[in-house]
Amino acid sequence: MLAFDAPRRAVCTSRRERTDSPLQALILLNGIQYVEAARVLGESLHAEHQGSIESMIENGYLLTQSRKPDPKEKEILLRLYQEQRAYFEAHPQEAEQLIAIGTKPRNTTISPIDSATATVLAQTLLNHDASVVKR
Amino acid sequence: MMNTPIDRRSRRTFLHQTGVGLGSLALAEMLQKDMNAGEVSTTEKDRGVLGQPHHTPKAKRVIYLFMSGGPSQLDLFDYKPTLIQRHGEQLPDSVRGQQRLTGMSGNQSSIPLVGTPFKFSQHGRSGAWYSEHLPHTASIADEMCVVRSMYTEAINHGPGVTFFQTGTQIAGRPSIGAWLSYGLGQENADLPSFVVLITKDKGGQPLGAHLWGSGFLPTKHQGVLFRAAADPVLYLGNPKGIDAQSRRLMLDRLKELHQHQLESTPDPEIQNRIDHYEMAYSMQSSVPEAADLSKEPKEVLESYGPDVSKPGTFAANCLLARRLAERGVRFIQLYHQDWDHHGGLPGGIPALCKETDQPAAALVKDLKRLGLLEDTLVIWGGEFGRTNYCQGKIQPNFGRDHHPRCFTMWLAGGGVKAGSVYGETCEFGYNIVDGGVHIHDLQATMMHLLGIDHERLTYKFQGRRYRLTDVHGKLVPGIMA
Repeated sequence: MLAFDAPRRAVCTSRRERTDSPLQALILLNGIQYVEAARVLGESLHAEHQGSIESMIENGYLLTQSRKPDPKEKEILLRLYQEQRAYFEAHPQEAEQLIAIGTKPRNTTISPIDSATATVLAQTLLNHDASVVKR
Repeated sequence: MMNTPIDRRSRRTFLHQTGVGLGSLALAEMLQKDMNAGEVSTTEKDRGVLGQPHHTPKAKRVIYLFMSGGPSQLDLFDYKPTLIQRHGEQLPDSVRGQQRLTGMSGNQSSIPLVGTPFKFSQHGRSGAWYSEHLPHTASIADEMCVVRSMYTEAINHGPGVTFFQTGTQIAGRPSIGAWLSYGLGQENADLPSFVVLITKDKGGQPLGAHLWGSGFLPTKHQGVLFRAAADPVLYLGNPKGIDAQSRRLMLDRLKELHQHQLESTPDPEIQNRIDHYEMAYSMQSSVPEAADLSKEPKEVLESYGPDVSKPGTFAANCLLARRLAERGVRFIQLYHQDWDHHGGLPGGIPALCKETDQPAAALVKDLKRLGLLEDTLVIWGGEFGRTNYCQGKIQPNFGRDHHPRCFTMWLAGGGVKAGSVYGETCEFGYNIVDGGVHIHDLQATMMHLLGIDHERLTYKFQGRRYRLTDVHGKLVPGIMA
């Protein structure tokens, strides 16, 4: 949590410092805990919406940003979903590796390729400025 | 670039930066153009807000070796035989005058002078004095300018360090490195322009993120603190199952989302976030390469001393600093804590010197070997000095209290008058008698060496323009070549 300005408890802190840095981006993108969280979110979106990509995007936005995406955002994420799906179809082993990260058992009713794609979708949502920054 | 989203201001940003009420909102449109002039446009960001330096720079980058805690100038650089002769005598009123002592020693019934327990000798063409515990530093005497006449108003560590790093004693202003990143931009797009390295496992006075913060400047200018470990940055590697290609695709879409968000929420911090994600992506390959000391020649490694093989030591950080300097990092801030010798000075100083003397000198020599010293400014120093009298009663394991009225720093490289001594303190080492250099003056001079007129790099915040030196700072020609 040091990268997120957690006080070190060495001295009294009346107000926590708030910074933003590339180090935080790296943790949110690559930290095991965050990758696992993205997988679980992605899988539950997939299960809840029976793989309907549009509903997944819509509900994912609602969950992470408390609002629905506008048409442009939907279009961008749809493109992301298709690109990532194409990537994992071409690299099925990578899909298996990505969804093996973390300790929470994976949802085996979803195919590894779908699960990995949903994970990257959820990662994108969780790394979005509006999901991370409290204004 | 005036019409790009980043150049449009949200009402909140406007109010925040100008610190005015609703009545002034009508002015917003009129001022828009003026304010935009201070904003870095995307295409120009690499060259900073100045576009180009005010004048031809002597130095392109800075490595600042901060000795946190306040090293005793009287036991390292500022040799005072008078104190040895008059050891145990009271500090004369004629020397102290009406000056107040700090809260820690102000209640002492006796304030006895203490002479240094260390031997001193003269080195280099300037004949500067060096303590026996700085043999390596003494060996680069002809590269250095020793400034014996530094002074500050801060009497305690937090405000003292903050003063040096941000130009004011109160936390919250942009730090030096942030100003430089804002003004001059980035030399290497794959590495941050401002990196902070702290020696591992040192006790002493705490350091906080405000010391390398960006204050009111955009957060992308803040220092990036590397970990004191073999992996200076955590989570550089993609998770298993994600390669550079799929990560790039994902980041491209995230960037599109952020740009779209920026259009509806014109908060400059969204642009910063976009930049941070791009920097993070670049750092995934650039940092492991920069931090890999294994390809350094054996004699180079050895020159930094045995600690160099232990990641996070001052020696390893000095070598890493040189590698970052080579790769275009503009401001590299090192910290070495624990110089706060209120007691235990005769044992403490040699121990701290053992950790820092050889690596600091090796860094200067190594920069010279690579032809980098001529445009790299190396700075060594703490936040204040120490008293010529003893804290508490004189005893073998004595200590010295904080003393802001005079202390020593040294500079080397880019534009510095090599092999010189600047300024003079009185025979008691209590007051400056010639050439006082305030923190603001040092900062003004440092900016000058970097090609910046310190009075002309400003940022408007809360209704007025700020600069690193605020309304102070005089150039010190005597320390420049």
